[in-house]
Amino acid sequence: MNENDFVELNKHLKELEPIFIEFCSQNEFVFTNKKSLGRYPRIRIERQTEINIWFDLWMQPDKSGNRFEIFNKNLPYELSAGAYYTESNNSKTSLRFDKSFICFSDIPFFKIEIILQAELSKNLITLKQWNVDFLKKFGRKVVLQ
Amino acid sequence: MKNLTRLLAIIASCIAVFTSNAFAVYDPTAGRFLAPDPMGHASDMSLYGFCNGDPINKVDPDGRLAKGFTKGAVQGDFATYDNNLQRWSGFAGQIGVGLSPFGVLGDVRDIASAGMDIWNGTGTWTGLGIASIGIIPGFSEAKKAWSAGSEVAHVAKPLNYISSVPMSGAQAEGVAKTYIIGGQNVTHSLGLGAPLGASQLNQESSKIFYHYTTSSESSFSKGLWSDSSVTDKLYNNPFQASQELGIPIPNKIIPIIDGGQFIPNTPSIVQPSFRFQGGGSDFINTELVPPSQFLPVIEFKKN
Repeated sequence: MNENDFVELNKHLKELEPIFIEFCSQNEFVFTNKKSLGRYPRIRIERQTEINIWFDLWMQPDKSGNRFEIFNKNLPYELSAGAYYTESNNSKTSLRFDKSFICFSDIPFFKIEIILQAELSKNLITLKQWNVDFLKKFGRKVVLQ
Repeated sequence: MKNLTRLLAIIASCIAVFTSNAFAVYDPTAGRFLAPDPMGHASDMSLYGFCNGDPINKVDPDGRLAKGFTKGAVQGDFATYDNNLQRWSGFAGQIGVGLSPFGVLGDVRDIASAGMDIWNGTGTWTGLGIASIGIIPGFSEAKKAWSAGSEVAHVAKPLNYISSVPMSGAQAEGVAKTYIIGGQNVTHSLGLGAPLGASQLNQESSKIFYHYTTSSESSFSKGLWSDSSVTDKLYNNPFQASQELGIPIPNKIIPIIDGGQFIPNTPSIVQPSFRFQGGGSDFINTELVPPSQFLPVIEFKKN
């Protein structure tokens, strides 16, 4: 695949942008820089408060683990969500505690538009209940160097 | 004895996994548990069938294309990085193979063990067959693992590779390679144990960035596209690179001399997702990097 192929593969995500834009404006989320997400179809939004809350929608690979190269509306998508907290100290490293879960997976793209808004809103309720103590106790600890 | 130590480490990391994941958030609205069961990814991975796939043969010019959890992890049924043990572990049917379901770690050790090899200027590394550490025998395998590919290696040919020395001490085991770049010696190191941190690398090779990928070398015949992600960390474990950089398990590293194109990405630290832990440092090239800035490819050998 070349750059143009990836642009073509990502075009369909435009259909979902209005939903994300509305959700972001209502809940103070912002779109994550696309350049940090790679070229495979993916949308990530986040909200930075004391902890960083995020939703991540991406096109899943095929059953053999290979990436799809040509879009069709039946391709499976997955939405995951989570939160993380970064604890900095005086050392050169810092600690990040993150926890995440899958909202849905293996959902064909043509159904995403129908369920996306509800899934985002529903799972935000859960994420809002997470705080620093919760993440430090139950989250995955990652050392940032 | 070494195998016993490894096995104990694996068991310890398994315990760590179960402990850290032994919690599931229940969503009363949805009437289900939001978090997966303590087996974590295990149930999901079967959905993707990575065992049967060949995820390393697709073109990945970006090097950041999330494709799901890893083939190696599936082959081992589980692979996890234990921060306390500072190592990756795979288990469930693969313990006998060692820490790495691919056996990659073993291969990297081969490279390090070999201690010395010579860039012959024609696209291959020629080993001297000296196992300075001797963890795993078979320098011929190490030589295969450290093979410079045709196209990228070809364009890197003008660089003068001048020495390779075994490393020890805090680095544990490894090998340092020194190039002459623009009249200046640049050391490119590959070690074992804990991943080489940015600060450590800065002391040794401040002008080299690394692009981890599964793409064929021919994809880079015209250089590295703009807006491709690179990192300043040299990982010796492809599983760890995959997890920290949020990419499919790479099968090769393209070391790139910084020509001023690289700037910190935004965010500069790769963020976590459900399938990748993130945490790697992330840089991006603002303009195309010509092949002339590439160093010979480092390949992670797979079985």
